[in-house]
Amino acid sequence: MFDAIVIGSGMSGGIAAKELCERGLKTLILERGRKLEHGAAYTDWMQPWEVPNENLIPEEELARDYAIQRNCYAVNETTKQYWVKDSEHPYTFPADKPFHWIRGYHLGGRSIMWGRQSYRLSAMDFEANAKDGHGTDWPIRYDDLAPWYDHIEKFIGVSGSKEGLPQLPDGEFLPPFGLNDAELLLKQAVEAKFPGRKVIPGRVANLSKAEPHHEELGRTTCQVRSLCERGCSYGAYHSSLSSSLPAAERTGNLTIVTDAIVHSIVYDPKTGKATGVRVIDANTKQGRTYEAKVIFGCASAIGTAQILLNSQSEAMPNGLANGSDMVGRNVMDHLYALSVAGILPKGPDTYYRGRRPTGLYIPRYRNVTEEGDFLRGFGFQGGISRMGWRNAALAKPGVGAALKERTAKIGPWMAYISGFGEMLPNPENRVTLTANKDKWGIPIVHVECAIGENEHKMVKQIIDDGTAMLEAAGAVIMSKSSTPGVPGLGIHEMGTARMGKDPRTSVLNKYNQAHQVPNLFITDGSAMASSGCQNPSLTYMALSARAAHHAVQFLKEGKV
Amino acid sequence: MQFGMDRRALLQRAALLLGAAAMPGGAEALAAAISAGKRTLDAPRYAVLVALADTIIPKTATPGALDAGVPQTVDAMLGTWAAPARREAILGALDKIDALAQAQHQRGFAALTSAEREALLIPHDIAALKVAPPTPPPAIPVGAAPTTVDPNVGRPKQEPAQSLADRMSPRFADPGYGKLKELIVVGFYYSEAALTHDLAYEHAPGVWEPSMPITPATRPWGGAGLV
Repeated sequence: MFDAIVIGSGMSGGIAAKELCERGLKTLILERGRKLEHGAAYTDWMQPWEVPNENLIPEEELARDYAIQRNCYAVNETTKQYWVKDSEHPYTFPADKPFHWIRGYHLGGRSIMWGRQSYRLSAMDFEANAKDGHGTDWPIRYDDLAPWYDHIEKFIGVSGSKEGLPQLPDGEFLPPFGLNDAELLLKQAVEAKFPGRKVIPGRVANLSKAEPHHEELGRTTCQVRSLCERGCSYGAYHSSLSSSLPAAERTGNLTIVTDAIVHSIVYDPKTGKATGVRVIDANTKQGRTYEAKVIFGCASAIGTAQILLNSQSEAMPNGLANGSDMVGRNVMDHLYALSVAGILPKGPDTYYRGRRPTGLYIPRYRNVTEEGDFLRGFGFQGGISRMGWRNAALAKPGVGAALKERTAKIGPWMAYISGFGEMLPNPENRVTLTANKDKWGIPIVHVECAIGENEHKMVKQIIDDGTAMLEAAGAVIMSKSSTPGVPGLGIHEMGTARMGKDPRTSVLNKYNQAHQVPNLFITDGSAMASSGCQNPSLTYMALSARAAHHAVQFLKEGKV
Repeated sequence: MQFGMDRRALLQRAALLLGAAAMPGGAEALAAAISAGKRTLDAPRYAVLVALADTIIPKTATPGALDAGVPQTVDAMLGTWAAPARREAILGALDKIDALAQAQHQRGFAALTSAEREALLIPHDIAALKVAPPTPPPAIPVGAAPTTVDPNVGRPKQEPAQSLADRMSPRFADPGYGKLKELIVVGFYYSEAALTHDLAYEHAPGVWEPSMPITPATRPWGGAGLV
């Protein structure tokens, strides 16, 4: 019997386990995938000439095993060990409504390959549902989460600049990775021509300067390699393996079990509580059950929905904690892959050194300082860099000494910005269970998710605004990608067990505690009542830490 | 594949590259490169590959494709990376170049002088890389989101050219040649030789310097992460 079980070892589970362990709870963390060793498992040691197959995954293997994962920008020969083989982990979607579920099953989950961009939601984000009536009102406000954002930022280490923007609150930042000269040119041009808009350094969970509490965990300052998705032997970006799990382990309270696929959560109708977690051993396919006083669901938005829906009982025939019928509904991602790129013919005559693990960010301004003909808004991520050797060598014909000569020249500045837009919660965007089961006897999920009218209006504005801002800096536009990415490809899927004030329309209360099952807490992306347009991991971590604090308090008070 | 296991294989490959780098220049280099090692390609086609790599990236003031072991890399990839259709297309591209040499000089491509090879290849390269005129817009296959850049890194990401970039890349008149040239060029610019002489590379820069003056000695940064 454990005090707590945390389902999932990724971004949310790592923090939940750390916070529970630090408060004295004997905590079991269950991971469905294999064990991964920090450092030893990584491929960041590979020099370019050591990378197999020029970093291309063998074509037949790619087609056979990575039909979905291959659509993710970070999937290549050096990182393929971190992505699931779609051939082994099937799910379905309607033929006319593709959904790309990008994921990794191993200790640490997607915290190993995450994009590390770390932004707070703001007061306006927590008020948005109440204001325009979409979704249900968040049961918390920015001030409830602000101290937990502080706590997480300090622990994980976020590099960024203080800007004083109400729509993108400042935090506990390490020094920013500054903008290069061409990006400063864009900043001046955009901020002069469009008052209210800002071009700032991307806030990123890389240690621009490690502090003593990071070094205590074996983490060191970022070496500016931008090999992050291969795993970082320096522990320079936050992941469960580099950061939260070591912190949990040093308390002596953590037990890690890998290769344990959660089948369902066991519910006792007499006490009204969850008593434990049923798992299937990934290798032997044998079932077993672990018991605990409190359970944290951190299996990711789709994984958690799958577990809850599969936890059916006589008392809860629609799945655990699903009296509202909201479990699995309201899937949101961010509008993604909407980008504008252009050359700056009159860019500054300078270069830069190092491969910065972030870029620039343009915080939301639509429906903040400027109107939009849609609800909510979007931000841009991007950067300006010198075009490199691949383009110089291959963009046009040419061979021999001439090809070598042109490739050895410093390339022109290429500016690129890509919009990330908020997606409204829609109950018809949902995860359900199918009648088919996977090889562990767990029902396969079906995901149905599409963007709506509001998002389509936003797409047009993203492209128009992106074009205008690059042109303000003197760019000659080279390409515009105005087809939104397939939902899921933003890898920000969330919303499947939303927080809310009313048990009839939401799954979790203001403590991320299931309305119907007081000792069940869900703190991954499932909990999100709206999506904002900011990259969400920081919020999941803040919610996880906050919920752990309250769960322990409730345990002490005998309330759960 | 376990990457831990792979380190040994890579060391072996590195040793091969060192061997290649020690070879003399000119015709002997070509001959030595052709004769060494176990191959995926048959000997005549491997000879064409060696000559082609040497023509696309010759040794100049800086090392060339043969110094960097590029033919070995590309030959190995035809076994370890290419699907059968791709292999066929690349073999076809090699055969076409050899047939052109036979037609123009009554000798195989590998038997031509470097000047003859370059004179033959320059127009062939232009013709083979002609982008097919736009036909009715291709149906976007499920999952073909037009993303070729990494928004999280905030700048265009060097992308393995096979997945999204492949679907996005121009439809060359000779797709086999287009891919073959890419494998040769990328193999070269990923090599230690190129990253020491033609480009600059630091595996762990350690610092971010957002502004650096450009001098005549400044070389472009190489490695992963650049378009």
